[in-house]
Amino acid sequence: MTAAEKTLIDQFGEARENLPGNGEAWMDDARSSAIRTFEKNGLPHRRLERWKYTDLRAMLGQIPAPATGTPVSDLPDHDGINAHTAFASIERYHGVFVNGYFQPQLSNLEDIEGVEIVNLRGNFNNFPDWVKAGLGNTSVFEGNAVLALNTAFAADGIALRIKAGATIDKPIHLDYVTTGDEAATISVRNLIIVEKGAQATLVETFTGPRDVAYVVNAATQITVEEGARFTRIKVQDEGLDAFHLANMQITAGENTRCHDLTLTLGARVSRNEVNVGFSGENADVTIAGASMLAGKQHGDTTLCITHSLPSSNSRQEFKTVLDDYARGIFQGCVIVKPHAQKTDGRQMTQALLLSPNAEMDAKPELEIYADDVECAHGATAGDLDEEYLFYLRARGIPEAKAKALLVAAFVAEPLEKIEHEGLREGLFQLTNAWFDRRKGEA
Amino acid sequence: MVAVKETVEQVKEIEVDQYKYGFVTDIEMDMAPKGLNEEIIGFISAKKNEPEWMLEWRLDAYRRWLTMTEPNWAKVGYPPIDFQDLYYYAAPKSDKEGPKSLDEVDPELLRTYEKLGIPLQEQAVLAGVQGARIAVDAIFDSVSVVTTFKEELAKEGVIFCPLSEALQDHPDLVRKYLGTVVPISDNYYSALNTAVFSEGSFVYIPPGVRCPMELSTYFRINEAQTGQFERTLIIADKGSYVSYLEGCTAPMRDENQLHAAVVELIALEDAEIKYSTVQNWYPGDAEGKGGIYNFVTKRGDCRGKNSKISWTQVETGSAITWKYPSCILRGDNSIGEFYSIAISNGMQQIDSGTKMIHLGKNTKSRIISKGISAGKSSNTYRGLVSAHRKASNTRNFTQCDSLLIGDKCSAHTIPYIEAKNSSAVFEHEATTSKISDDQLFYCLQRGIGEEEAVALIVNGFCKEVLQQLPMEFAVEAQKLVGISLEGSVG
Repeated sequence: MTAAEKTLIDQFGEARENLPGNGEAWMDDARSSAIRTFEKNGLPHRRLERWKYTDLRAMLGQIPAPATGTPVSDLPDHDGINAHTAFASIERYHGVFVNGYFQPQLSNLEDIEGVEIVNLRGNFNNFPDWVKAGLGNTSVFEGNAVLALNTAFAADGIALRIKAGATIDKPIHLDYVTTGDEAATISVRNLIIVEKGAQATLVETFTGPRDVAYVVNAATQITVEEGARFTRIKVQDEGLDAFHLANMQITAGENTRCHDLTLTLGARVSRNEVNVGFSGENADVTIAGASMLAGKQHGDTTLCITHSLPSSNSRQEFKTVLDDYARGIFQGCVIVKPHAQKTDGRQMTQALLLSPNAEMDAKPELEIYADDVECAHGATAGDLDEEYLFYLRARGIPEAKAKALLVAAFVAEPLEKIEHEGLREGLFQLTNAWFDRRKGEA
Repeated sequence: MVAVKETVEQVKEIEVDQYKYGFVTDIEMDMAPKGLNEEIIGFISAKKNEPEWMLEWRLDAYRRWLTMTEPNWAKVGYPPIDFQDLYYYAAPKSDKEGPKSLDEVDPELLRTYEKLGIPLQEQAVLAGVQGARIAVDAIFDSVSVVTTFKEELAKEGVIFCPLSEALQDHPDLVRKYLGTVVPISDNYYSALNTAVFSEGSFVYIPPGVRCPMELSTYFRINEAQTGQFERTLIIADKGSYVSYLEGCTAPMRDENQLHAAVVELIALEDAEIKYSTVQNWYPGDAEGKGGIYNFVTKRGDCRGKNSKISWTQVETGSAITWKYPSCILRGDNSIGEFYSIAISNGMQQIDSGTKMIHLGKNTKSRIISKGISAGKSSNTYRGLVSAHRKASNTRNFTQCDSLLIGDKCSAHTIPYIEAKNSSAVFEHEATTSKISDDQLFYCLQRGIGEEEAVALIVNGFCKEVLQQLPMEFAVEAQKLVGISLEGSVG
């Protein structure tokens, strides 16, 4: 066992008493089972196939203590455009977390019609069954050390139930802000159920201080029931010394439409893991993303779509822009189980390497056990096309500008598919800000 | 078109699940005792009258092998292999000196090869309808039986002989290159091979020579409970060219037999090696009983500038295939190619692919892989394309297509793409689908039976790879494609 692993186990022993739900048998069981799973397997390392390119055991040397929560009256000023400010002007339901703790006084989630909200720090005795079933589910972290740690340490989070048939008029924005100069480990756990025929859009953003090596471990479990439509946009804009470890698990029901988009801009090391399963036929799932990394950033996107039922479509579309010494990783897997006939699965991952020292590792996988399927994947990696650049420069556009235009067009593709205009614009503001920052540094 | 028509006819003739090379040759064998230890290795080395350094090298490999563990990352499943329950040396009993000419070869052996369709008699080859002449090195269990056309090749300075002979006649050449592409401890099976390999082919093409004919090795496992461990070493010196073919078969047996070969290719400046394989080891019966475990390490090193190595393989046999012919593109402007058709039927399991490791500048590689799975088989493409920091302006194109026939088989694609240089341009695409109903309907409507139609469509699916094979092999391969899929429809 490494020092970091030992620290984590010790930390759990100390923190346990103050974690929400302590004393509730089902929650205690889930946490104990999670820490045992972690004790058995330790931090993931490169000899595990899924962690081949992100050796967490080697990277995560120091484990900061779990964050402590106090209600704050005001958020620190944010200068410039980041994931926290980019969506400030749109009409939204706003839920603010500071250092992983929900801040009801800064939020307006209670007002949403057709949504039931449960705060994880609330009264466990009164938790509805759907929350217990979600949080108490110990099978989710099998073979997933990061999610096991999240389950063990989860200090706060919210559970949202979008009631059957409800259409939520505005996006729900969960805004995770990390503050302070002391590094801490932040563990949040959310649960979202979109009931039959409901429609909702969720935005999750992560921001934090620049020079603090804090660790965020965020997990979201999402169930989308029959006929529902659900869009989730995640912007990871953590401070550049931070670790961001995220897990999302989504189960799509019959005739559902799910669209997930992740924009990765921040963190020194990030790992965004998405697992998709199906509980009904004819579902349509899109998992998309754009990563823009520079400096010595390490951005890992790992996703797995398991088609266990027939007649569903899945799309994966990922763009990665890498500058300086940045390293991008994409591991995508489409599994089609024996009875999942008529599956249509497509996967595309493209990377643009802007600097000679950048590195892209891609592993797009297909695992097919059914014959009547259409599955395809594509992967490309390369520099900007000289001819495009020449075309623009021949028209009097300076090189730097021409490059920025081409890169912007490259990452725009998945972002443009977001239907909500305000959100789309917010995303473009963020990508533009990335270019401005690069220019400033150059 | 002719070849396609032939395939269709061939398919008609053959009964379901028939492996036509499944016969056993009854011949007296000289065997080493069962099991593996330093003594056996000494025995093999002494049998081959090897120099001291070879024995040391083998023992070194054996000691390292003892510390290694079997790889288990491939998508194949099989019961553990008892490495002590195998014969590591089996040779047809013959004169101590070995046959000097064809007349001295045991006629039973010659008949075996005749049955397999390999003409060993030079006259027969010359008079052959095929028109092209091929020099053959025939390997029977652990030893080379005969090598044809040696003299004619010698005129050009080409050395083509069994590796054991090369060790006697050209020890310096062998010592200089052997084990430089696949090091001793490269992997579990290559280490085992290094310790116990008993035979193999050695090819050396001198500078500037274009090898006047196709070279070919034909491997045959005959004896029960033997493993076959051969080692092939091909060196193409500056500016030379060689095309090499490899074929293999084995009798039908209920037990699983192990085949762990190592192939090393070295292409120096401006040289080109074209290596083609038609792998048709016994795949086991419909229930998955018996069959060859084919655990092979094949690697080519484009050591010089402007060199080229091209792998073409047609994989139809073996119960389990674990094989990744690779190219190390070390020389600037070198080119690596991999063309593969992997067909699995019955209970076969294939985990195969390639590695293209770009080290030099302006290196290019191309991968075309066609996987076809039928029956209850599993077919995995696993490949790596990587460009290292200093490998600027590298280019790779990869296409992996899988075809599924029936709803009990599976097809997987696991590519690893590692770009460490921004000027590298890598493209990868893969598709998985079944034979389209439209295509099938089109054929059926024109009076072509379902099985023929499938063979036709599959041949079309593989066309890009089949085109890369030398003429003689292409025809054989096309037939194999049809035969391997026998019984998979309807």
